[in-house]
Amino acid sequence: MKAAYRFSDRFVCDISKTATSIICALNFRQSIEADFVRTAIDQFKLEVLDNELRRSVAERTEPLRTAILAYAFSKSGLQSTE
Amino acid sequence: MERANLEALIRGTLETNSEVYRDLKSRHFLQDPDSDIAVELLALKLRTKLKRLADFTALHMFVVTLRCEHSCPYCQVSRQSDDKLAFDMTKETAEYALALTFRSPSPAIKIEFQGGEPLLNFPLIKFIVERALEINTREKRDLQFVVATNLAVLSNEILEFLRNHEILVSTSLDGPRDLHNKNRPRRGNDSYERAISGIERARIALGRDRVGALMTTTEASLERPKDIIDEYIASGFDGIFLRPLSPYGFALKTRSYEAYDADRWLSFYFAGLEHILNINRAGHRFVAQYAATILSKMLSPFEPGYVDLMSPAGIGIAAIVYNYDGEVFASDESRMLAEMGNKKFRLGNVRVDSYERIFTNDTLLEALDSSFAASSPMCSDCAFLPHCGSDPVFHYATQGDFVGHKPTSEFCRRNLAIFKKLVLLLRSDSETRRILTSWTSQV
Repeated sequence: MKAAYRFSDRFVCDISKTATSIICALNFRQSIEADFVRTAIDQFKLEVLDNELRRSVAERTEPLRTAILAYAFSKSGLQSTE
Repeated sequence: MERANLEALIRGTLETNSEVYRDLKSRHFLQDPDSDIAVELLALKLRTKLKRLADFTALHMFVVTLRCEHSCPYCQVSRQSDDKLAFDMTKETAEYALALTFRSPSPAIKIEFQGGEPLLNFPLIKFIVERALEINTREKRDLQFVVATNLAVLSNEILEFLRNHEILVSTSLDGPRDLHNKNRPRRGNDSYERAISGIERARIALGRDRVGALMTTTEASLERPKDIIDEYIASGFDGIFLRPLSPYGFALKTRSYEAYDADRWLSFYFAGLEHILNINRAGHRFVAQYAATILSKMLSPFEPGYVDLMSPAGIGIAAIVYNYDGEVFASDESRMLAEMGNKKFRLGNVRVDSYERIFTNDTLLEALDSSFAASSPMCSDCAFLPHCGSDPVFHYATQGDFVGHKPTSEFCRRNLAIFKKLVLLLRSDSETRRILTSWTSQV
């Protein structure tokens, strides 16, 4: 959905699911060249990949990130007392 | 290591009584139930590397004026002509900024004077130094001062003050006279002469090791790495930091940033590095400082604290900038981005925002959270992750978000190439290895 939103200036993306897959139907808003369509599709795929990787890597490393940031702020006097 | 052994190691099928197994175990590449030492040592190294983080903000940059008498096309701040007093920091703003400075828990505080040309507002530098020393009689930190100056307006009065207060000098020297003056025009076309004269005078007054210089790479520099390095040697410096051009401020407005790409800069850098190594091989010690910083990260458990190569990033938590008008920025690059009209990394204003508000700013926290290289695609799998960092400001400026897209990131491209080159050089011959490892003591 993030990727679809980012490309909403170039096309509208209808997202649907089946039992085995997710379908993204790209509806371009005006008459455009085939090259533009191909480039947009490639970029969209890369964007989906990028977002998925960021999500999964960030999720996997959250405890480490939280621990290190907490340590960085540990003497700053800025920690919450809650 | 032979590929067959590497594959066996990864599959977990290496013979436990083999020589390669024992060798790997002794070097802590593998661990087995016999001992926890490898993991404990790794934990110790990680704690050592991260130790400085809790010291929080150590470098506090005061932009005492935007006025400058140079007109450098690559300048990363909006410069004003030297008669516009509206662009000077006031004493009142400086007081607020000093109060924030000493809220940092860091046992060592470095106050760096930036500009424009900071010596054009020397009275305020005097005020800040004296006031900081006064505050420090109570705070008792390890307090240092640095002034980043082109030295063109250096007077004897200023020199005496710098000497009496042990203030370090960092100046700009872009290379031989023709190149320096081309990069750094001013009225009279004498920037080089003034810089060289200023360096000599400052060394006599302050001591040789209290005067440093930085160069900036431009299109004009790319064909002349050896000339630039030779100029540094002739000027008596014992090292050089070969810097890329940053995409901020006037560099982007004047299209200087688009003048070359990462590959061209890497050619420049590697030619310079080879020249420096040859100089060392001939018996003259001279350090490639960026390489030395990286080697220190690679070969020791210590973190040199170079802000642009930290994970999490050093923005705010290692360094912070107080602009002439009281605006607070997460880094010098953030300030430069603001001069281009993008205030994404503005954290507040010293006059109206508290320490708490500034350092818990949503943008800062989000950028810090995003700046963990271990949480970024491609970085998380990179062999050089422990030695690298992230630069959320650079990625935001060039690619539109804090993390960036590493396959097309110039930051990644540059650093990956340098890491690989240094590993190859370390493995090339014993003399080169000796030279490179000797540089780590400089950091």
